[in-house]
Amino acid sequence: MSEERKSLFMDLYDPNHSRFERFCKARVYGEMDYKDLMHDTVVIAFQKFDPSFEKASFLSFLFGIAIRVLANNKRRKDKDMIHQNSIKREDEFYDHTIQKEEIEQLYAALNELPEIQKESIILFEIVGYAIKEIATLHEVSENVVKQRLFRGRNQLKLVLTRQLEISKTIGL
Amino acid sequence: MTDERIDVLFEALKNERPSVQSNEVIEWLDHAPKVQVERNWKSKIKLKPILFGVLCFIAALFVMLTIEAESHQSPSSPIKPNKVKELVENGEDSTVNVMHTSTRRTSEERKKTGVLKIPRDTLYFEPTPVPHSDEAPTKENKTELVNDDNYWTLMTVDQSKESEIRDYLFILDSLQLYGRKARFTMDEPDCYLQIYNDYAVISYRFRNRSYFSAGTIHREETQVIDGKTYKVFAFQADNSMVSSNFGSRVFFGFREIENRTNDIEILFFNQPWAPTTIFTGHTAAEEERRKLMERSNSQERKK
Repeated sequence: MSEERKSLFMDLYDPNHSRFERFCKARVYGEMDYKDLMHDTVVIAFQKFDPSFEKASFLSFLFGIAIRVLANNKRRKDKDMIHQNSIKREDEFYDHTIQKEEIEQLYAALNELPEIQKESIILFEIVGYAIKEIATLHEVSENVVKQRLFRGRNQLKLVLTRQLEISKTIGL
Repeated sequence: MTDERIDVLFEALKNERPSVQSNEVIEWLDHAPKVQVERNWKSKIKLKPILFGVLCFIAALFVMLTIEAESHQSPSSPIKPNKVKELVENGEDSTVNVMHTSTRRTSEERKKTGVLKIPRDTLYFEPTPVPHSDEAPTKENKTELVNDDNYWTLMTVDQSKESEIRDYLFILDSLQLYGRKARFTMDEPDCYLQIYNDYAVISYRFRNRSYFSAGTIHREETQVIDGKTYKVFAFQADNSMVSSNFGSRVFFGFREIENRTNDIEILFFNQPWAPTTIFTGHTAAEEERRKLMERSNSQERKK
């Protein structure tokens, strides 16, 4: 592989790195190690990379690959392995802020949503995608995306409220 | 948890610094398998321009076929005019001396008078071998029936002459469109085609619509259509009974159906000689002939 090609790839990837990482973290909470998802996605993206790619669509290109990788991994996931990885990387995963527990709760609540609602909320709230961009990525209309966001947000609140009540009940 | 709190958490996640560094990503690339996946054919081929081209091609093909279909519907090429012999004596000042020919006329000519006056020497007209009967209806002695326009009429048939060349009377039983299999029966059992000397009459009622046409035959020959031999005739409709088909040419032929005595097949043509409708019928029996005569004679006539 040529250095020039790698350099071109990184030119496109670097500006999108932080958003891509946030997506992977939120998307695979409780399913797999987010770094594994990032690694698999970046490798595949580099193999399929063409220097004529447009900058504006590169992040969507990465998301598309990540979604397909997740779909493939679902078939062969090992829960015990994932759980161990999650624990092992806890120190790296969580920021040392007061919101640590609440963020964890938020991730857990997101994980309970239907896949497509979860993905829509992650792209909108965490990655910062516009509704139009999400619609393009998912190949649906903007109204559908709005519906998913609305329902996902309501569901999220319900789940978080329930988690809070459970925590209070068992004295956490 | 409130909405505001959730928004704060999301905001915090949005601003979170990445854990993975760029050099880590570069390491991934360095250790990645050295396989360059070729772009698949879908990404290579630009589908939108190809689709647009295909649509344009289909549209052009459709337009060409439409133009071709319209050109086939236009009148046929002019027929070479023959020498004309006057057979019907009509007044020169007749306002209904309308003749149709196979030559094309411009719409401006049609608009001028509302009728189409054609010089006689351009008429496609052949003299009949036998002069028509003196009793054949002419403009002067035509009678109009008081029946409703939708009701078909019978012509009074004079069978007393001994020197008639032709005398056919066929009862029409059913019809079908040429090339189609469905066959339909006539509305009434006394629909008929008559050829008497050089005069032909066709009268039938089908699906509550009447059709009547009568005129002097100006052409007779034998033709083979789709392997079947027909005796074909052509006449120009006069206004002896009704004026609705006045001037129009009628082309038809008939043949006896094999192994079926008295059964005949009558073929009607649109433009000569494109077959359009097939009638099946039979030679009128004596009783049927008698009934037709009775019906014809019983009709009121306004004099």
